[in-house]
Amino acid sequence: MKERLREIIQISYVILIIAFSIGARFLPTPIGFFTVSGFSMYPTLKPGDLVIGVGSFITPYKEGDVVIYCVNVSTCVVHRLVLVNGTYAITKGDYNPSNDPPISTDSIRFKVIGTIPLLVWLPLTVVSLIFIFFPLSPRKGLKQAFLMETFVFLIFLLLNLTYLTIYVLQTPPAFTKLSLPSMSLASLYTENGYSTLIIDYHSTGLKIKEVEDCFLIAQSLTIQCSSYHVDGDRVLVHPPGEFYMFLFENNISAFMVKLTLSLEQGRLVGKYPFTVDWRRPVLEITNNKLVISNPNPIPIEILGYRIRSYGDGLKARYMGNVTEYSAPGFILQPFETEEIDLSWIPSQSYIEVRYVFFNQTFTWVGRIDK
Amino acid sequence: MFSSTRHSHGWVGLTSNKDNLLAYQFITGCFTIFYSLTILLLLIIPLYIVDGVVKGFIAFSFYQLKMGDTRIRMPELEKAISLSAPIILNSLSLLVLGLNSVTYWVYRRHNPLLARLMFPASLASIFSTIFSYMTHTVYIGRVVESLAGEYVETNSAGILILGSVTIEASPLVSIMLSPLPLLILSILNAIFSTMWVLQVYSRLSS
Repeated sequence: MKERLREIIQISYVILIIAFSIGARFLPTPIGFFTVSGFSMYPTLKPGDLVIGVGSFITPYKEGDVVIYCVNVSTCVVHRLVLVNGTYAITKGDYNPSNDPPISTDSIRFKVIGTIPLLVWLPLTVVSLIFIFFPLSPRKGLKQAFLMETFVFLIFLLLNLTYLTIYVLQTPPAFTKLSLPSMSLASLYTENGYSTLIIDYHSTGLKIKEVEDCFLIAQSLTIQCSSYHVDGDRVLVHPPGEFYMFLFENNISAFMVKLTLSLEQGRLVGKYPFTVDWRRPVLEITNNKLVISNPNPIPIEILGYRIRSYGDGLKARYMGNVTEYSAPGFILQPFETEEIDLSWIPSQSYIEVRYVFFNQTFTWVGRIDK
Repeated sequence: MFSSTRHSHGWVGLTSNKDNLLAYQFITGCFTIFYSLTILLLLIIPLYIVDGVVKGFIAFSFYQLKMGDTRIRMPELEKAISLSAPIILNSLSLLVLGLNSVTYWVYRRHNPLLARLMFPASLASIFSTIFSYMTHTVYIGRVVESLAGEYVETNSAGILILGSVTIEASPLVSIMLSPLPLLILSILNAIFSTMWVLQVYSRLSS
């Protein structure tokens, strides 16, 4: 009789578990049990949680409720209702960035009324299964059958569950991003006037192998760099003089250096802006010398200079006792400085220097006091 | 097959009973070795071969990814690897029990303790199998998904084209990663060990 009762309990238990676990997918049961299998409802529901749902034909649902809808027999979804509009509804997982596609309200099977965490329901189910199918009596102690087996099984199970709960189910997996080597721009500057353009990089885990391509681009003009080289994390480009001439003639002060670098891992394509500060030649009189400097990367044409010397004393000045001296022009090369000796000039004089800059003729006047 | 002799000649019955237990011990032992080795193999063989900017492989229990000469660490993968610990423990204990069972069988000796230990370990392996599948889908799958693709970065230096990463799943693994074959194997293993332990208990009770 006792054995018969045990068999009935065992069969009922199995039927109950099957009914609870899969029955709700097939039949319109008043209560349904489902296990969560993803992070879409995190942190409200975690994977492994047992969700208890009450049939939608018993309890009405509204926006904000967590509901269970079934797409087919094998796929049921536990998500939150964000909109119910007559025949269709829109749901969304709490952890999902966007809404789900609209579903028919007929497919909503259950409204979630509670959850049981994995660490509670699974050991309880396992222990109850053990006690129903392998009943252990505390009176018999260690002698009874399957006692050791139960303990060994529980140790393994506990170990698995602890790992599962601690490592997997507590936090959703982040989208892994590799910490890849990178290369950023450290600085752009020029050296030796504009004869060397320096592109300085800051690299992490990458090295420049060589320059594949180098172009100088200014409006419609694109020319290949004539000379460049790599020095560690920097690239030095030497633009040709004709390029600056083109810029000067077209009144352009900005240009780009387009580089394609071959790296130890991959390539880098970059465009780097540079500007040319076109300046008039610098003229000054120091220590009986006229100093003319060209601060530009292009030659400047000095048309010539003229010195007017006045005789000593007021009388000579007002009587028009003026001596003039003229000199022919010359070309002042890029960044060149020309010194003209003025020590031979006997008295107070004025010096006029004429030069061409941006197609205009300028006159600079300086005074020599003796 | 021994039922008729068991009733008439007690000593023959005992011998046949022992043979029966030895047969169970051998079959269960062999199957357990096969099962645990399959699981251990699955843990160590590379699941994915990574090629391109990042080179290396990803297995269940370890990984090696390199970019040039620099070794890359991925926290998500390390988490997945730490998760293989209970599976390794379970499989190793099953392997030891299986090897012991076969060794005892070679010496024509039956050890009921092995049956009593193998039974719960086999049942636990069903959980381990589900567990490992979950680990894979949740973690390793996610990492693999995020690893593949083009590595292009735009910053102040310009467009940094590091190249692409391709990931190739090992053909053997793609079969084994389906939960069904592993689950069937683990259930079969559990059935064999259950049958053996039930035989042990039926002999003890008789």
